[in-house]
Amino acid sequence: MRHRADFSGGELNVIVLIKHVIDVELNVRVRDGSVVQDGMTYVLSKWDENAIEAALVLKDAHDGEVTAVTIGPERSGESLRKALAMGVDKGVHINDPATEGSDSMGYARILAKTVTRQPYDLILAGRQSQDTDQGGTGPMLAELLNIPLVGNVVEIAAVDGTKLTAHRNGDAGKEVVEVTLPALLTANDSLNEPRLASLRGIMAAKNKPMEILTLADLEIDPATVGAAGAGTEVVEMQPPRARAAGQKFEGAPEEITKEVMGLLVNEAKIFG
Amino acid sequence: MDFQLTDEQEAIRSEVRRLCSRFDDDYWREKDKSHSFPEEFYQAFAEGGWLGIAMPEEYGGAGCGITEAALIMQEATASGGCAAAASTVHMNIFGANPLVVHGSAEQKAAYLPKIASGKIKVAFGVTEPETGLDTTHLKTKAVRKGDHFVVDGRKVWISTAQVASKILLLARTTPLEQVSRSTEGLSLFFTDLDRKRIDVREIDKCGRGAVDSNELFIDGLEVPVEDLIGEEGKGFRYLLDGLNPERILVAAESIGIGRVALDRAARYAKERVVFGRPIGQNQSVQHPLADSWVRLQAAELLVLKAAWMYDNGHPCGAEANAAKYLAAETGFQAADRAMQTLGGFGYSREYHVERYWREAKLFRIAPISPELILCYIAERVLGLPRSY
Repeated sequence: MRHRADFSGGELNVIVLIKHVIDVELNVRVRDGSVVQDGMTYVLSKWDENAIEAALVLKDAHDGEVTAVTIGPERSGESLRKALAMGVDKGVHINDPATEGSDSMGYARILAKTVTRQPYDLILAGRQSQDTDQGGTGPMLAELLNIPLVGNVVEIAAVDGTKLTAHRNGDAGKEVVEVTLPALLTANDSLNEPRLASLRGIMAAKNKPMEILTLADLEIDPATVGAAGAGTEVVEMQPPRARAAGQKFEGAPEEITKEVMGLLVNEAKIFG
Repeated sequence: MDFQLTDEQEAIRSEVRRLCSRFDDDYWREKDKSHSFPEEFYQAFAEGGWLGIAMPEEYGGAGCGITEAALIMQEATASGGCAAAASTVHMNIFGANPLVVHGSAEQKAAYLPKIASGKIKVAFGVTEPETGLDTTHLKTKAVRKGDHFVVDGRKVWISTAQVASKILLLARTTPLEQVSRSTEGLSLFFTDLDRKRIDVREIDKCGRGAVDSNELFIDGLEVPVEDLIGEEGKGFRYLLDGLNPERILVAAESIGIGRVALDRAARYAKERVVFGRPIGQNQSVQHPLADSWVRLQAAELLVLKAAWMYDNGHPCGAEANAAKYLAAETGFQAADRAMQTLGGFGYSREYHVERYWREAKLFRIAPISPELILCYIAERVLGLPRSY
């Protein structure tokens, strides 16, 4: 069964794709062309929290089950447990060393095999992950599943029968988009304010089902994913440029304004 | 030997840290300045279920141990909320312990769920102006008259009495002359904080402006017999049960203050440029801060060890007291060094460090002084003659 095409009058089953990423708020160090992993702390990617929150809000309104899925090593279980503590019903963890080095396409291939193991009406993901900022996995998965995609969603306005109406931020302003379910939505961080896990939620999380899968369980050929199956390769990593110190202006407002405008126009060239 | 927190403990710590980060330094400075109870913070803790962390599950709590309670209290103070944040929630989180352990089924069913959910606030009425830490010689009397006791006396340093509706009250029910040991004849009550019979006067004090400390004048307070906890005359013993965990929590709270002070000091020392270089490049600035980090680590290990001992049913008097001693001394020292690092700015309210300093000082004094802890260790651990 690939999906449930019609949930009208019934429950809405949602799958949320989440990723456990390096905490980019801390100092990320790069050595010999790759990110130093030692001593780093990891967190749930922030846009994924918005996706989880949206799924939980939909669950409250329509019932149904929310399943969070992640791909990664042992430590990724931490983000799954966080999702369960927030209120997600079930976790699926694809933990297989052969997934390491996957590019977006690789992740999408694994997820396509994973999500189609159970019926679903909607897939939610962050609009990008906080570590790579690539934003490719969600759209690629929608393509593989042959379902509609709405990216960068800022509001889920209505779910009615087999239709969902979402607002998304586009270049030219807000677009109101209607899709037929099942569909895949990626979340903007203004979609909602993710809830904090309550103590009760944390305690309940340990008794919720958590499935741990390997590529073999999903009947995926390891050669098609991970570094082996990646069509892209990161050949070099450069640390983000340190932010230059700010400049302080003192004096009478009229003079400062003139000075700052001069710099903005001639130095920063922000007016084209 | 395993120094790793469990997944659940990590989750507890990280969620409380996030919750507390919604209340920033400016929130606490304003509460401190205006002397107003941090009700928003209290409600946020209540909504998240955190007030019930150490309460048994059957009474609406989470049934966790003192280890978990210590973790969340450390986060509360380390957010910049300091002693004010801790004291806002401390009584709900652990203050009702005598009721949990010795209360009747009716008392527990009536009050514990409300304490765990934050519906009622409780004040802890033990300390008296004339007796201080010499608790067994307290002067407040409770005299039985039919189906109630009549209580008269004075209490001092009673936190949250301005906002609490209930009070855990220790009073002498049998005169000192009529008991063989001074620890006998004291009774513990959990009763209404009846403002018609208890005059609550706030004490103007150095720090923790957000959470009130009070002097209580109790005049003819009628306490129904049903409000007696456990057996009459055994109140002091009931109180002792809660002392070790309280020491552990206060120790954790002190470490949190030290942590936030150190964090602000290090940040300032990196940014502040004098004589053409960041002041943090000078060893005279680095070393005290690094030394404080080391001491805070040591204190935290001691806190976690004492908490582990308590949660696993081992006697932990020495460890709990030692943890409180080391943490409170170290927390204050870190705050003092932070203030010194910030120099003039450290003395200004705007930079918050002076508030940390004022609040860290509280835990050097309450609930027990470092001097008395050393007396206890000397006597109970080293076997030296009792000095007090």
